[in-house]
Amino acid sequence: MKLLSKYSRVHVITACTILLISSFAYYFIIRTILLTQIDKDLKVEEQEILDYVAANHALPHASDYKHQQIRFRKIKDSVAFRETINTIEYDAKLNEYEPYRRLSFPIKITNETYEASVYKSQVETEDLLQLIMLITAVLFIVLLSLIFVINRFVLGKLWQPFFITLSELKKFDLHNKQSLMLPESSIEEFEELNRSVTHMTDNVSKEFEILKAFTDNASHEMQTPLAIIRSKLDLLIQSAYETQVEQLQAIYDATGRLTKLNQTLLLLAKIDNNQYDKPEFVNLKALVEIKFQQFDELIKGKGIVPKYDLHDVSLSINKDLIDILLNNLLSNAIRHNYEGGSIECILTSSMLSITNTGPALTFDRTNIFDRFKKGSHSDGSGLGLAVVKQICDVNNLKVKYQYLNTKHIFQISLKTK
Amino acid sequence: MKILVVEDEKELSMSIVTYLKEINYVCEVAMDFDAATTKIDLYDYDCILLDITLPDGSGLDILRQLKAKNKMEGVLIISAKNSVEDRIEGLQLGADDYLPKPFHLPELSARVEAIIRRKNFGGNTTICFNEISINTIAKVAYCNNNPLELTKKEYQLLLYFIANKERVISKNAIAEHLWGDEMDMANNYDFIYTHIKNLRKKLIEKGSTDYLRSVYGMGYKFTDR
Repeated sequence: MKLLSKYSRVHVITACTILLISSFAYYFIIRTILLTQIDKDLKVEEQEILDYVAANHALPHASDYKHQQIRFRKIKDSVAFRETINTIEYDAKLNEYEPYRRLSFPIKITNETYEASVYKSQVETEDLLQLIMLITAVLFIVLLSLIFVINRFVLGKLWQPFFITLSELKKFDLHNKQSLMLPESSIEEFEELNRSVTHMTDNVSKEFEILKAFTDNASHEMQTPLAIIRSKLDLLIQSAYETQVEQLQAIYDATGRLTKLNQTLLLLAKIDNNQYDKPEFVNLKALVEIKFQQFDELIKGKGIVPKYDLHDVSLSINKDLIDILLNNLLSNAIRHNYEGGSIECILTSSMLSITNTGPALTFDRTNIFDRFKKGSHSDGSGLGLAVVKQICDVNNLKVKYQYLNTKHIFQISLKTK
Repeated sequence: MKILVVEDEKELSMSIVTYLKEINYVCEVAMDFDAATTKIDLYDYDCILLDITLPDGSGLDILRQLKAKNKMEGVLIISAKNSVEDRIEGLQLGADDYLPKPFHLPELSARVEAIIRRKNFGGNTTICFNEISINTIAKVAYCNNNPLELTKKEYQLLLYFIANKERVISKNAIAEHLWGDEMDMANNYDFIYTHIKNLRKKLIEKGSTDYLRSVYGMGYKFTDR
C-alpha cells in the first residue's frame, strides 16, 4: 500500500469515527437540553394550574393552542400519579401526527380527583435538531473533502523530494560512474536522507572502482610471474629427466589454466572499462562461417554434425568482442557436447542462436552466466559465458539460455533492447 | 644474429637469453630505459625485444627514438598490458610484432626468427634445414626440391620447428602456436599428435630424414643430431 493511501486511510477513518461519535453525542445532548427546557415550561404551566385551582377551587378552562394544549379528565383517586412522557398526538389542523411532550398530574377539588394533562409540541425541537444534524453532515462532507485534498495535493507535494530521490536511486547504475544528483530540499529530513544516500552511493561507487582497479592490477601484476614460470618451464624441459615429465606436464597445464583465467579476468575488466568501444559494421554471416571453419577440427574430432541456416546480417559491434563472443559460444557448444552430437546455428536479422546436444546442467540454469559457475565435469575456466553476457550487456543485446529436448540453446536477440 | 632484450624482470630476461643463446643468437640485456637507450646508441642489433613498462620510462619512447634515428632494427614488443591501444600504437611506431606476456619461449623464438628473416635477408626468403627448404613468400616447403603438400597447420608447424631446432617444444606451446589462446585447445593434445604424425609422414615420403623426436610424450624436438 502506498504511503499516501495509508496516510489518507488513517486520516479518514479517524475523522469519520470522531465525527460520528461526536454527532451522536451532540444529538443526544441537544435533545436532552431541549427536553429539559420543555419540561421546565410544562412545570410552569402545572404551577399556574395548581395556583388557579387553589384560588378558585375549580378547574381552569381547557385550552388548545397551536403548540400547547391543556386537558382535564376525571379519574379514580387510586390511579392518580404524576408523569412526564413523550407522545404522539393527532393535529387536526395540520392533518398529521406530531410529537408532543405531556405532563400529567392529579388535581383534587373537594372529593373529586382530576387528571390534568399539559401537552407541549416538540415540532420545533425536532426542527432544530434536524437543522443541527444537517449542518453537522455538511461539515462532515467538507471536512472529508478537505482531508482528501490535503492528502492528495499538499502531502503529495511535501513528499515529492522523497519520490525524486527514490526514482534517482532506481536509475543509479554502478557501471555508469555517475554520481547521484539529488535536488535540494527545504525539508530537513529529506535533505538528510539525500545527504546519506549520496554519501552511501558515492562510497559504493568508490569501493566498486577500487575493486575493479584491484582486479585489473592484480591480473596485470600476475602476467609477469606467469611469464617467468612459463619461460622456466620451457627451459626446464630441455634437460628434464623422464621421471619428472608427469609433474612438469601438470605444471604446464596448470600454468596454462592460470594464464587463461587471468587473461579472461583482464578481458572482463577491459570490457567493463569500455576499452572496446569502437564499433564497426561486421558481417555476421561471414564471421560465423569463419568460426565454424576455425573450429572444424574440433567439431570433426568429436564427430559432431554442424548445421547452419545463416542469413546475411550485419551488426555494428566491436570486432574483437563479437569474435570472442562467437569463440566462447562455439567452444562451449563443442565442449559440452556428446560424441557424435550436433550443433545448429541459426542467424536471422533478429537473432543468432546456437543449439547443441549435451547433458543437462548440474546447477541452476539461472546462474549459467555467473562468473566461475560451471558443471562438475567441466574443465573450462567458468568465465566463458560470463564474458558472453558481459559483451551482450555492453552492446545492449539480450542473451537467453534454454534447455529443450536435451539441447542447450543460446539465443542472442540482435534487436538492441 | 644480435639481439637486445629490454626487460626489467631479471628472471624473465635470463630465461629469454638462455633459450635464444641455444639457438645461436647473441644476446644482450638492458634492464632499464637508460641502459636500453645507451646500448641502442652504441650498437646495432638485428632484433630488439622490448618491454613497454620499464621502471624509468616507456618502451614506446625507445621505439620513438629508434624511429627518429632511422635505425633499422626489428622490434618485437613484449608486454604484460596486452591492450589494443598499446598494440596499435606500438605497431604504428614501427614495431614489427607484439607478443603479450606470458608467452612460450619457442613462440618468442619463432617470432624473432620471422622478424630477422624479413629484415635481414631482403630478397632471400628461403629457410633451409638440410634437405628441407621453405619459401616463406609462396608458403611452400620443399624436400630435396620436391614440393611438399602440406596443410596450413602442417606448414606452420614445420616453420615453428625449424625456428626452434634442437629445442624441446612442449605440447602446450605447440597448441598455443597453432590455435592461439582463444580456442582453448590446451588439453586437446590428440590434434597436435595427428598434425605431427601427418607432417612426419609427408616429410619421410619425400625422402627426408626423420628429424622429429617425441620427448617423453610431453613435447617434440626437431633435430638432426
